[in-house]
This record gives sequence, structure tokens and C-alpha cells, in this order.
Amino acid sequence: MSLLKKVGDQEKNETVNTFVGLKMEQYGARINDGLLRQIYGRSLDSVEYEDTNPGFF
Amino acid sequence: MVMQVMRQGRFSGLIKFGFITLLVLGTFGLVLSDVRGVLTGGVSGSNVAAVGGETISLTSFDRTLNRTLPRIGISPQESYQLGYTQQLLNNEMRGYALQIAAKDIGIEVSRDQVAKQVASIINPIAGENGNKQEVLEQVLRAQGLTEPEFVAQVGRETASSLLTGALSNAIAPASGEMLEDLYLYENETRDVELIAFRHEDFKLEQEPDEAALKTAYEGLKENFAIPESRDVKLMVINDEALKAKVDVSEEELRRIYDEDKNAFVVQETRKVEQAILKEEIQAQEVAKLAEGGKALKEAVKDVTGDEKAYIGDIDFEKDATQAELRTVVFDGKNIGKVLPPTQTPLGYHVMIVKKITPPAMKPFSQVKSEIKKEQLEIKTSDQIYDLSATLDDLLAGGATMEEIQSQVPLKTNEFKGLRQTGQNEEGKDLLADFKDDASEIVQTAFGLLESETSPVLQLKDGRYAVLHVSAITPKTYKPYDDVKDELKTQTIASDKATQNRMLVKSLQEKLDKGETTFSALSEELKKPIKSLPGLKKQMDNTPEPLIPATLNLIFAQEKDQVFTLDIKDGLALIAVTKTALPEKADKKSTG
Repeated sequence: MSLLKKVGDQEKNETVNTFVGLKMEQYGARINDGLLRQIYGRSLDSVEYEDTNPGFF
Repeated sequence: MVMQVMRQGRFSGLIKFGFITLLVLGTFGLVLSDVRGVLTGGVSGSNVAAVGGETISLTSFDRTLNRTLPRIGISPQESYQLGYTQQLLNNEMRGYALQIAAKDIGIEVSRDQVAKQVASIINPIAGENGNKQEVLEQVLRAQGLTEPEFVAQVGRETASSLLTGALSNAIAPASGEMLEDLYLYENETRDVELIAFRHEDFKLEQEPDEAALKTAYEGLKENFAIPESRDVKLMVINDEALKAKVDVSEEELRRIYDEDKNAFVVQETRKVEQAILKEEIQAQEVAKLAEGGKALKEAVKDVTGDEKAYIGDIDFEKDATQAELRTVVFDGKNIGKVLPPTQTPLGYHVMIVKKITPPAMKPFSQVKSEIKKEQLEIKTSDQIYDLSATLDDLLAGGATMEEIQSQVPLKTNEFKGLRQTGQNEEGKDLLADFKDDASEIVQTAFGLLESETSPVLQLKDGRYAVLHVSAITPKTYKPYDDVKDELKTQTIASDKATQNRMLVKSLQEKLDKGETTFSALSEELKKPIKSLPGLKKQMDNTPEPLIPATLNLIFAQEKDQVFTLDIKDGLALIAVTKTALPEKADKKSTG
């Protein structure tokens, strides 16, 4: 992939993402995180986590 | 669109490979990308998400997840932790948002266009002589989708693609300076030295005892929860039993045929060989060559260089043919003559009528069974409707299940241990035979009390049913003894990880205060210093023990300053020893 195409694709994605983001906000997009966690979030690993690299996330 | 890639990925090794790449990028890219516009909370019941007026139910999302995860070999729990579940859900929501936006703007995808899109997916698999319906059914089975779901999804994606296409085509190209900066930014290389501290190598002074494990169990209890399940009976009015009783007489069939003769007229059809060309001038050249005796396909090849514009033979039914084409195709009875090029929104059609089948009336004997089938269906559905009203009355009057079953023929389907995902404890999809209604069944079943029966529901296939909850098993927890071994392994691993982090943190502090040096530490702890030269921000194979998720952090640090970095199964004290930017002249060769 040429660099030019890469930059072009990146900008296109950015534009589409911004548009979709705004639309999601306008339509009040909501996730039921409680239900997701209840159904799929059962594992030990998620409990033990210490962030040694603040700012990364 | 991820869905699109996934669907087509079934059929194309290349796209499948692409999807895996996409997933890997997605997995690690996710932590860096923000999900704009999505709030959490505020979605009720068994829906996992809502966009505008649309909701995504847990059962339907769970099916999407189950369809996707086996292909990449990760469990739903791992997927949740990696953030892939949320990403997949977000993609679904984006699809809905785009679809609503497309509708708001006035982009509507007609059924014809959807049909064409579906055909473009099916045709390459079916080949020229394959049975397309069979292929479609295979595709649906393989994808675990129903036909309406598939059609809706194709429609949604087509509308969304039109909209995103229009958006992204409005972008101006990037400037030269920007390209140069980006090139330098992307191709910077760094050399590092590191001392690795793997969690596994940390020696614990003591393993967790019974008391510690019990405390851990209490703290992590939710992880061992067994969700609520219900024993549910879905009782469907048995139309098989009714069909056996309903009949239509010969006289009745004859009367229907006589009264509605117009319905049995077969219109004139014409078999037309055609080619559709983009330019009028090409169409005229093709028509001229064909008039000169050249086969249409050859003529198209001569003029355009390939056969793409050649469509082949198609049967045109008079009333169903587009007006522009009808006036030309159905004018006169010249078989074999090249018709003048005709313009439609598709392009310029060059056509030759190959065969004319005149209109005819289907004889009674030929259509009798068809009429009978239709009448039986009408009569049965009338009776079923009456029975559903009776059922409703019985339920309202407080009748017991036995009383109801004695008056209404019901076919009972039992779902034991049904969870909100539509599955049982072993992960078996209990509602596999009721996929279209799975979401409503779960929602209704989990809204009833024990021994309660729902009002009459109409299933998507038109049948009537009621739901009865015979038992509720509340949410429980796996007992301590069952999970003790697992808990011990996990606790040891997490203790080692925590203490290893504390050790590295204290060493980092010593280094920061100048109490020790990198090489002194290596000697003191008998841990070698590892050199990794030529690191880039994006690497196909990240050299061990570095991991792609934290590789970027190396490029955010000052040279010669020791810092702590997450590596594979542990931590490292690491320092950048050299940084280098590429020569600008190479920029065109980048990939």
C-alpha cells in the first residue's frame, strides 16, 4: 500500500468515524454494560490488574 | 464493515485471512481508539444495546458472537476481556446508526437492489449451473442467520456503504509535508536494552493457605456465579392436527377458478439476449457488428475488450418489464433482429429477441392443487385464529394448563434450564428451532413468575403460542470446594504478579534516586541485559519479550532513561539507547 493511499484511507476512516460518532450521540446510542458483564465478564483475570503505565489507556 | 468481511470471509480464504489481520489490529487498536458517542447504562431488560429506536437483544447479539468467536478460537470470556465483544457490539451499533442516518438523509435500498446484492454474494459460489436457493440456504445455515435477518443485514450494509462511500469520497488528498512528517513518524527506529522480570520466576515466600483462598473466594464470588435459569414450556397451537381435519371440495375449487380466471393467465414472455453498455457509442458499435452477423457476445468483446457487458438470455414478462425496454422488446414479432440500443438507468441495452411465448390460460387441472393448497392454508389459519381467541379467553378466565390442553390442540416444546442467552448450562442453543422468536421468548419467559403462563403470542411464522414457566432456578455460586484448585492456581499467579510488580517498582525507585545503575542491577540480581536493536512503531513480528500492546510506549520515552514496561508474562526495566529517523529520500519506497 502506498503511503499516499495509507494517509488517504486514514483520513477517510477518520471522517466516517467522526460522522458515525456524532450520529451515535444524536441517536442516544447506549450499551447495557451491566448485562454484558453479567453474561460474559466472569473470569478471575479481570479482577487482578494494576495499572503501571498510567496514561497509556 | 466487520460483518461484511466476516460474511464473505466464509467463502474467500483471502478475505478470511484479512479478517484475522483485522481482528488482530482491532484487538490491540481498540485500547487506543475511543468509542465516540456511546454511553453506558440506560438500556433495559435483555437488550445489550440501543441506537435510536432500534435495540439489539442479548439473544441476537449472542448468536453473532457465537458465529464469530469459533473462527478465531477464543472463548466469550476471553473476547470480553480483550474488548473484542464490546468492539463487535459497537460495530453492530455503528451499522444501525449508519442505517438510521441513511434513512434520515433519504437513502432507501429497494428490495430489487437488495436482491441484486444477495445475488452478487450467492452467484459466484453457485457457479453457472448451481442451485442458487440451495446455496443461499447453505450460506444461511453456515452463518446461523434466517433469511429475513440476512436480507435486513444486506439492506443495512448496502445503505450504509452508500453513505460512507459518499462521505469518504469528499476528502481532499493529503499534502506533501504531511506525508513527509507521517513517514518520519512511522519509520523512526529505536534500540533498547532491558532486564526482564517474569511473574512466573518470582519466588513466593509462602503459598496461599486455606484462609487466604476462602477470603479470595468471597471476594471473587461473582466470577463463580451460575446465572438464573428457568424451565420453560412453549406451547404452540398444533396446526398439523388442524390441517388433517380441514378439506376443500372439488366444486369449491372449480368456483374459485371460474371467479378468478385472470389470476391464471400466463402473460406473453420473450426470451431476449442482451448486453448493457455504459456508452451510447459503444452500444451502437455493438449493435452494428451484431447486425452484420457477429454473435452478440463476440461483438461486445470486440468493442469493449472483455465480456463483462454481455448479459446473455433473459425471459422478459410483458407487465414486469421496465417501460423503456417493454416498448422496444414487445414491439413487433421480429425474432433474431438486433433492436435499436435503448437507454435505462443501467446503461444502453443492445437486445435480440430469441423466442416469443404467447399469452395462455393455465387449465384447471394444472392449477387445481395450487388453489387447494392455498384454500387449505386460509381455512387452517382462520381456525387457528379462532383457537387463539379461545386460548386467550381460557387464560383470562384462569384455566389450568390441563383444562387448556383439553380444549386447544397444543404442541409442547420444553426448554429446561433456559438462561437469558437462550442457552442452557452446557452452552446448547435451546431456542435453535425458534431463532426468529428467540429474543421475544427469552424476554417473556424471564418476565413471568413461577407457574405463570403468558398471554397468547404470535410467532414470526404466524403460529400462536403461550409460554409457561414451570420452575425457576435462582442465581447460585459454584461451591468453594469445586473451584478451590482453579482458585489456588489463579491466586498464586496473581500473587506472583503483584509481588513482582512491587519488586520492579522498588527497583525503579532506586534507579530514579541514583542509588543503583542498570548494569549494577543486572549483576546483583544475576539477570542478563538484553539488547533489542531496530525497533519500529509497527512491526509484523514484535521481538520477544516485547508485546505489540506496549511497543508504542518505547517511542514516547526519553533516551537513556530507565522506565518500567509491561512485557510478555511480566515486566521489564528498559532504556532507549539509540533513536534514528530515516532518510527522507526513501519515502516513496515505504509499504
